[in-house]
Amino acid sequence: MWMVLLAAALAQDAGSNLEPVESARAASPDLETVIPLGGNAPAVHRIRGVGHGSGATLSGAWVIGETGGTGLFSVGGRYREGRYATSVSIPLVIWDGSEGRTVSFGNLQADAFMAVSGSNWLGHIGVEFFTNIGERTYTWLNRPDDAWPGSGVLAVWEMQIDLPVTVLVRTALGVQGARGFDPFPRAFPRAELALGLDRTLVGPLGFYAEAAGAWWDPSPLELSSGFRVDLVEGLRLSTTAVLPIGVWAGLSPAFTESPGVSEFTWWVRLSAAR
Amino acid sequence: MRIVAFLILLSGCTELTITDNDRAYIAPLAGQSGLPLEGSLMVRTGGERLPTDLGLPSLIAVADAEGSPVSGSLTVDRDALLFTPDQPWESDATYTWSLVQPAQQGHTLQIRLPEHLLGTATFTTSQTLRPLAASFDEVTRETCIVFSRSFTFDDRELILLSVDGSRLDDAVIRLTPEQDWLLPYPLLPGDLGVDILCTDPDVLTGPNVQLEVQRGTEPPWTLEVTDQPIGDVITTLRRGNY
Repeated sequence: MWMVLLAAALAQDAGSNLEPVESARAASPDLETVIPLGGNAPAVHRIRGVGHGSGATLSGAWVIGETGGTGLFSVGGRYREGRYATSVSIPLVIWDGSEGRTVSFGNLQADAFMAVSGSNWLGHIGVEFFTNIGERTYTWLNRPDDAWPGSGVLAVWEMQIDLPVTVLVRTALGVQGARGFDPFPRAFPRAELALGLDRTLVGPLGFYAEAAGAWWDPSPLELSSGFRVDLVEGLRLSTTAVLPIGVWAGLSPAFTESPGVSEFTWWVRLSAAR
Repeated sequence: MRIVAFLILLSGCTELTITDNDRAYIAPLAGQSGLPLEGSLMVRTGGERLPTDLGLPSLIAVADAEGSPVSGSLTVDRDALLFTPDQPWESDATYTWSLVQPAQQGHTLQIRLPEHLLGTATFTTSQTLRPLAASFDEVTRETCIVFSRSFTFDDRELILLSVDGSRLDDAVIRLTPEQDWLLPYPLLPGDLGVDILCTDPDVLTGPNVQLEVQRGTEPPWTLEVTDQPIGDVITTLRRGNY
């Protein structure tokens, strides 16, 4: 899917009639010097966002509700050199099982991206890796790779178009290996498609939202939205509510019975980027 | 996954289908005696894999004769759950143990234990030999008795059978080899399992009689003879709920 979208975007790049928006991210023969990659870029939940600058992120998330109880705290760092960027984050997972509370590292996340652009869009293409560095984290928040022990890789393509609102797109395709304990399969393919938007409301305050579908995934359909505020230049605080409507509708392969409207996930992120 | 295997049985050349359910059993068998004081309890889940690095919930609950819980550790070896008490079992003591299905809710591992193993069974560390069940096989015409532990050298000579007060002096009884129990049940080291005695054909003419089993001068045990192959009897006892 992402290959198709990438091809379509590149074709659009070649023959677009759209006028470039007033953005430094407009088309340029020299992407590295014209596109201001850096700072805190628009991002939602599944959509990581294109063009973040070097920096660090602290985040916390909690699954709240009748089927909740899982929390994840993460610290990560990013490094950008021109159109190339890489990041690593380490999560600590806290969850309450039937044998009490467990605290352990989850899956180390790493990625590497290369920025690409067209006449009216900015994107990046790359890979996301993850591998388990803890133990016993037989739980998850919303994604199959956030806590459940396993390893995998995703090929990712994301883009954004600066219209009156910033439109965001993410596609990903990959494979994941787990340990074969229910409800996770031992190995499975993964595909993601997410559409989002981001708009600055007033001053440093902005709003964003996302609709995402994924399979195999414990949360196959999600709606997410939240607010962001730039505390000072380069320091962004954001809070996101993830509504797992696929879980609510009984579409999740990770629940043997539909739990109904039983949970949502609340994220808080503090991101520093230059 | 359903694993199918065919065993050609010497008695009747019957085809037997072994399923994952058949590979799920408990050891010691329900009612077993003579468990070693350092022995562990085992539940084979029949293919359900469990993580070895999880602080497992209390899937196995053990209590002594007074109903007081027995503390111990639970470990996993492939599809086997092993309960080892913190202290050795008391000698000449009877215990009950239960396999408990944990509640399934939320973002957690799903543990689905075989339903037919859920329940309570007993075992004892005493060396008492008692009959657990007797059956009459309509095909072989044999009457077989499952005893609560493996036989010692003297046990076989001391066993006496009676029906309605009449001694079956002409009943030739023989120890049945394990391969005649139809299904293999690998046991833990030190667990010698149980033994089965079978009579010659037609010592009894049918099931549903009261069989008296006596070991030497010990008080006799009375049990109802059922109408099923002895392998099925063993399977039932290996599934607990006794």
